[in-house]
Amino acid sequence: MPVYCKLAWRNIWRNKRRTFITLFAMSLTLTLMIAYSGLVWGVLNQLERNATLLGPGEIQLHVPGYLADRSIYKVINQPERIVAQIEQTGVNATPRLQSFGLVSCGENSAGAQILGIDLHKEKGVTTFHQHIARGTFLQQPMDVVLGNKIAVTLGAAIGSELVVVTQAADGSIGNDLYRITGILNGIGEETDRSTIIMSLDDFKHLFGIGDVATEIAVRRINQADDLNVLRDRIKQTVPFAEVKTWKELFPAVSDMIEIADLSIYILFFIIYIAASLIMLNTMLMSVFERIKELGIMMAIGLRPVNVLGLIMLETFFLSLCGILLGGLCGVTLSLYLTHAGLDLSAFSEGISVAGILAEPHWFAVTNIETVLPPIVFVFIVSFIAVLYPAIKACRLEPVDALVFQ
Amino acid sequence: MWIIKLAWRNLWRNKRRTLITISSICFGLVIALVFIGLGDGTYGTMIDSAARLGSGHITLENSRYRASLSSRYTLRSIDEVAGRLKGLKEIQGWAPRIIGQAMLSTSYGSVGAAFIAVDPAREQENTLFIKKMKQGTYLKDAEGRGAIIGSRMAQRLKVSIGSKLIITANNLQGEITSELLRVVGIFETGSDMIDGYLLQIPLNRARTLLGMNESEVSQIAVFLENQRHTESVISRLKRRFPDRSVVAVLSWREVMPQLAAYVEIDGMSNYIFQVIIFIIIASGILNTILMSVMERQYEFGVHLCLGMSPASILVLVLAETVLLGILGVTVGTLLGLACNQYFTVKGFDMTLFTSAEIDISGVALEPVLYSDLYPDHLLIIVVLVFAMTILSGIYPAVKAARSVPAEALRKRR
Amino acid sequence: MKIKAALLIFALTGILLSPCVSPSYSTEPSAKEILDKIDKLWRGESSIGTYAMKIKTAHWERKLQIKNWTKGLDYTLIRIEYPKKEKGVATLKVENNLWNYLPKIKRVIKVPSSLMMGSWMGSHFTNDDLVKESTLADDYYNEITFNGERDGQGVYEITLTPKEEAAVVWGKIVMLVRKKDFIPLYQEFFDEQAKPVRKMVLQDVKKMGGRLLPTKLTVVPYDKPGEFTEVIYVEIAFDMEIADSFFSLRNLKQPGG
Repeated sequence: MPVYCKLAWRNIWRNKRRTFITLFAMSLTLTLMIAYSGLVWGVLNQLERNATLLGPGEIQLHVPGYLADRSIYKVINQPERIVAQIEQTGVNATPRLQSFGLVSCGENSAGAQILGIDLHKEKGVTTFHQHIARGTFLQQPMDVVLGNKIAVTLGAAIGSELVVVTQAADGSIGNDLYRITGILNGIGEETDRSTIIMSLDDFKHLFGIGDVATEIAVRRINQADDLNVLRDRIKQTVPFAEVKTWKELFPAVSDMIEIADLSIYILFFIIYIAASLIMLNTMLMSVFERIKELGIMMAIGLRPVNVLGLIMLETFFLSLCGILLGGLCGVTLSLYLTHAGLDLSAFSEGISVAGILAEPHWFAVTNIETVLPPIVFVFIVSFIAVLYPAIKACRLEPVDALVFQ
Repeated sequence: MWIIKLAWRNLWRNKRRTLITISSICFGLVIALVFIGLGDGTYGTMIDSAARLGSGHITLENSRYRASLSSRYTLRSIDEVAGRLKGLKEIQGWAPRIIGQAMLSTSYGSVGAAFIAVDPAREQENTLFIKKMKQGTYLKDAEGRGAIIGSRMAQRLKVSIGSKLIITANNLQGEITSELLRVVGIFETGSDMIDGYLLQIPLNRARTLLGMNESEVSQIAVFLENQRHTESVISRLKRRFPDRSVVAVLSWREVMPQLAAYVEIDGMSNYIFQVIIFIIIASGILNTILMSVMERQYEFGVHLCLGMSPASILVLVLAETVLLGILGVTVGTLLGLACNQYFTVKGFDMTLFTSAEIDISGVALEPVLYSDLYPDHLLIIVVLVFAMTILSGIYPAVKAARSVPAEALRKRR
Repeated sequence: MKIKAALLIFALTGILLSPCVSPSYSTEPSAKEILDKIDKLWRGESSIGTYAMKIKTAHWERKLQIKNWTKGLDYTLIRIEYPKKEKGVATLKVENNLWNYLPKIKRVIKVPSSLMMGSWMGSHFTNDDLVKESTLADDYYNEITFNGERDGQGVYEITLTPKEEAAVVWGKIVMLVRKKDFIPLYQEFFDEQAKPVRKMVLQDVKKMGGRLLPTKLTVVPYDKPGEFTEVIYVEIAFDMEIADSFFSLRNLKQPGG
């Protein structure tokens, strides 16, 4: 066997040009596949993250019945304690309050959805604070941040005052004067059009409510944890609450992401076909080109099985080199895209797809799931590609092989 | 000429290799054509349906409207404005629109809504609302009290066909006014926002409601034969409306920046995909030709010895490549167009994969994607693939021409 | 939100004023005549009144005291006098414009039409009560559907069906009017499927401000059991001289009124 290995290895380097051509095809394909799958999964992850990071969080807790009418009377009591309990299950959690009111800025008024957040804890669950288009995020009491479309409707500018009027929980008129400190990026149709964000304390004061929350939003600390398992675990910790994952809360969004997944698989399929076509092509030719040489080998007494084995060994070494080279280039490119990203913001601004933000700056991910499948694929395809010419070659009578055209 | 003949014969001396090369060119072309075609078709459909639903491919409006979105800023004397649209053959039609915010009430409650007031006679026949009508009929004319509303809104207000609906809005003077409407149709587009928030009412009802006169509208939506002509029509229209401070001429890109961004960004990811496919295919072609040239060093050596000039060999190899390219591109284009035709007629049915309807920035996406390849895109792809093939042939051709007779002959072992 | 209050009171005033028709018909009046009488009273009058309002919902119960100035249909000013927390909150209606004043933050808000959903302080009035400019006789066909005795007193039952083009949400309204003095006792509001949606009961007929009026009014929604809004007259004066300029934004902000 070592003899064959040696022979195969030497055979490969005997015709350097051919080997380089084959290696080039293999590693280029592999590089592109690794980088592409990294980029594609990166974009998908980004979309999925935005679906949760810019609003709902990954899991939400409510009192049963809250989701039907979003009544400010269906609240979770002592949210601090419950948040602490939930966080024991290995997640970040934050209490929230949500209701509706009339907001007015100068001459203009509009109906709005008012969101009260815990400034500190919210950052562990969502990233509103990183999506400020103008101004800053909430900093001191009586600060508010607005969605970008409602800001246009109100003609609101940073620093201007915002009147909020609403019906407090005791039926009285809740009203107060706030300062607009920031305007959000476009992060989703609903938020853009109707949301204003204030601190939890300001919200409680405005609505005249005590230590309650309408919602507790949760985010995994470890992204590898299964959401459904976590949901069940939280459900056990807080049996009275209705616990739902964002996929259950927003089926349209998760459907959308599934469609995206699916279309990605179609694209992969096509890329893989293209790749295998090239590999097949290259392998076919490199074997057929050598048929005379193989004929000579058989003429001097090598058995067809040995020839087949030899070709397979050669292919093995060749693909090993190709994979090393391509894998290296691919991972490098993918890592570059992971860190620097592909910035398309010069061509386009962020958009919302099914209500979630798709940013024009794409970042790849690089992990075993994006790197391994292309490598395995290239490896397998190179063997399949070589099989047909190899079998054909070893079946030839030496004489025919010598005159094979 | 003899070179071409020779090249042709050379090609068929190694049928397998030629077929493989041609098939990879074909593959690349077909994929490119199908993808670009589906992309063009999808964007076209989206742009068209968004334009018909919203404010046309081109929107004419009071130049102060966009910044404030206040229905105070109207377009006066529409006949005069519409008169200036005449003589542009790309324009398929135009429709006056009044848009604004309102409240809808029934005896069970009220919801906020956005209305689009239309003159049904001027609307396009295939507007989304008509296609997605679930119950009842579309509006009959610009008069009357009919209203078509979305299914989610109907549910929230507990109304059905024939039910009363009171619309309340601020008129141009800022006063609160109401009008009675009757639900004549309920549509369901699948977009929560459209179905839960939008309604259409007859144009003159909106004028009464808002206290506008008969020649006043919020905007004129201009529909084009084909959305591809948007930019060229706009530049001509802008000359016809020189006073920007009165009438603003806007394209759908400005009116619906979200949609424009989607088309842009989705197109971009499509391009990236195409580029990767092209690189893979190009490297394949390069490989094939390079190998075939290397393999034939002996043959070239013989040619050179027999007095053929290196230039002729260069031309010979290039000619082979060109022939390969022509064959591949011809077959590929035919196949690609056939696939494309299939998708143009039958469409690519997304419902095979999902039952969900999705919307992009509030524009509902049709569940069946239809292909509609732009002729100029077809040309670009074909030329690109052909050029790519030729380019991949240059290096091997140079290599072949540089063969030194003696060395080439020695290579034959 | 607060507009509701404005118009609510405004509507109430109209209803409460209605019994001032002098009941001196020799023959049976038609439904139209009864409503005309009411409609006349709804216009051209001015009033200054104080009401106690009690609202009960599933979650809370509260009492307010409100002072209210009206002049014709076009002018209304309402100011909350009690509880202390909301003292000075005021609403001004001039023709079809509405403003709110919030003393706590010293700001006036003009209220856009698209925000008139939700109820003011949770009371049980609809927008129809509020934005109404026209009169019952303008908007509804009317018919006496009962003429005789109920609970020991002579009453007319008038059924109001909306005209085809009237911008009103109701399917029909049934009104019970006392025969002897045309004092309304009861109004029931139906949706288009003739399902009752809410009722308004008028009680405690007393002489106040020189007129005989029901001084207690209760609105009960059928779809929210246990909830109601109750308005009780504390005092009222009619036909006072109030200048149009009284109903100004400047005055809206002044606590003295």
